[in-house]
Amino acid sequence: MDKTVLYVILALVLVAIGFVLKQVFADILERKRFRGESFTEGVFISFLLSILLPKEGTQKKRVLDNRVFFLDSTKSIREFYLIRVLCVVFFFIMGSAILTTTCMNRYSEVYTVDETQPFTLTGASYDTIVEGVTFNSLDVEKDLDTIKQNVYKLSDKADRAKFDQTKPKDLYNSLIVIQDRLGGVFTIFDILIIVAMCLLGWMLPFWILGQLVSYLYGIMFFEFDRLETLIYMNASDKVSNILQLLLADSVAFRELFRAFIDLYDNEEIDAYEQILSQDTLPDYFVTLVRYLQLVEGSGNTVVCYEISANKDLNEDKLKDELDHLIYKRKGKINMICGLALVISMVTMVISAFSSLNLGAISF
Amino acid sequence: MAIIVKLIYWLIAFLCIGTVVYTYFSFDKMKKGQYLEIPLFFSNMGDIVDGIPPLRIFASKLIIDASLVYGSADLGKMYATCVVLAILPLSTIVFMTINIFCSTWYMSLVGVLLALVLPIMYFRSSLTDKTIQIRKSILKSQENIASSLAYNPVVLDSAQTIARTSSGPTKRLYKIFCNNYVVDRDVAYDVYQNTVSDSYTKTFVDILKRFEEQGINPIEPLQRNAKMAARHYYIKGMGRKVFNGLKIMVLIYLASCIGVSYMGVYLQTAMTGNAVENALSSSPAFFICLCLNIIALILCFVYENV
Repeated sequence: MDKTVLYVILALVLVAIGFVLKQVFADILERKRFRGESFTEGVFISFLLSILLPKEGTQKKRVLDNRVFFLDSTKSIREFYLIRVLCVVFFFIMGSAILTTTCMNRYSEVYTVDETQPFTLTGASYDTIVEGVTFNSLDVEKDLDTIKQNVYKLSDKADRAKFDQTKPKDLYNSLIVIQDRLGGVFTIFDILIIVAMCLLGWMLPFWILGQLVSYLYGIMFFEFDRLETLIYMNASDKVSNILQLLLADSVAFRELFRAFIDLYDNEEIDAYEQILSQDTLPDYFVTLVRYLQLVEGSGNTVVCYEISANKDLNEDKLKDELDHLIYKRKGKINMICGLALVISMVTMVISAFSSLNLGAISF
Repeated sequence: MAIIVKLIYWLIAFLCIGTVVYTYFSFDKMKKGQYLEIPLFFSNMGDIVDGIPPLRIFASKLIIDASLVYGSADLGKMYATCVVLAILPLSTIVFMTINIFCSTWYMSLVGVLLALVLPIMYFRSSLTDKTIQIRKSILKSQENIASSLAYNPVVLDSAQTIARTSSGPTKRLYKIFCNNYVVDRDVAYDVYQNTVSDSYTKTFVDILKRFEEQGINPIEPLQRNAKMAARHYYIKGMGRKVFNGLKIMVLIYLASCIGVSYMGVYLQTAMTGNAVENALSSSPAFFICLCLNIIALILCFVYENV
């Protein structure tokens, strides 16, 4: 009866996951490249996103929107949340699959014969023998009688003959060991693993986005140095051509340059004024735009002179920034490796302790 | 049935090893000049690679770097085709080796990812390391040209001096430059610029051309250009130097994780008296450790590009 309920629940969960995936993929296939309004969402996804998306005007929404824009201006926060939903579904499936494999492995070791459990038993014979057995320490005698009676119910004659000659107390002890092992096949911690996997799926895109943005901020100074050189080398060229070169060569400033080119192409707006009056833009980007303004206004000699002077000034800063960046990155890698080592050590200790009391449990 | 499966397994392994060995020796022959042009098989494979966008992007980057390292566009193309051809069999061999220790499907999945990612990153990274070294050496030669032009304003003389005094790819590059320069100056500059293929060399060539055509003093701009290039390659080289060492550290960490996890299984076996089959490779905790170490290794490859 229990198993049937489990199978029904599993089937329902699978149908629900299938439904979500179908909806999500249908929406993804239908959608166009967008930023906002041209995104065609189905009712389900629209409802889901309306619950999940941070409210307009909140700090969280502003920060996320800026990060997504900084990474790729053609994407929006809605698309980012869609990826988060997909990740949760994916990690749930992965977690369930990994857990199923682990539980199956543990189950395969339940009836293993060893010093604590010397009898060769199958799942079916165990089920028959323990029928009506309470495993209550106050009712041991009653349980022993029940086991005696149950042995006669075994369908396998050889098993019946073997267990008939065995002391009921020995068989009872074996059954307790098997019951303990069965209890360890699937525990509350395993459910926690699924929950943790879902949480990981939800948080992972957020962390990756944060890491990518911090990566871009990290290389900003070096990119500024490179683009400064590029302007220096092409200072005699037209600004529109230099802009295309800058766009092709930049990573951290790519979206900002893309936006600047749009402004620059619009003759009604003074693009330089728009950028130079902004406080929120990165200083390095503003400086690059100022160089471009100088190229257009004062000619290449002034720009080259200014860039040369700036490069000389930044000589020491460059080395410091490089050392700092490498130190940060090394720290991150060491932290990940250290975490892995700590996990394996903790696992070792837990395995050793659990072996003392509970028998073989694999973590 | 099991024998047939094993036979197929070994057949695939031998095929992969055969492909890798064949591509290696073909490239070696081409390098030694035993082929006058790219062999038909590799030429056709190169066309196929060109038709598949992700492979084309990967190969095009390899061609630029390999042309500089091996000194000719043909060798660059051949190298790129060989690498693209060898990556799949290499990945298969790596996966087959890793899979021996994987008893669960998720460990095999990690094995597939590792086998696919590592050879690609290794080839890309090792070639970039070589090109940075060569570009640094070419950069030094450009600085030498700038200083020698101060007392002998003939570009060919300076280039010939460099060709005599340098070694390796730099020597080869300047020999080709001098040979071409005697025949046609523009061709010589074009070949030089296309082979080195970086923006500093483009500027270097522009300055020399302006000097020869208009007589504009090249020394100060050449020195400024060399200084900027030195700064650029200092940044690039520094990141690679640090993270190449860190890759070995990550491997040591990985070995420690395997060792500690194995010790856990050993303790468990010793305390309970039961040997648990595949306890290490089927443990989710060990799987997490492995994933973390692989992420760290991939980050090393990503972070070395400052």
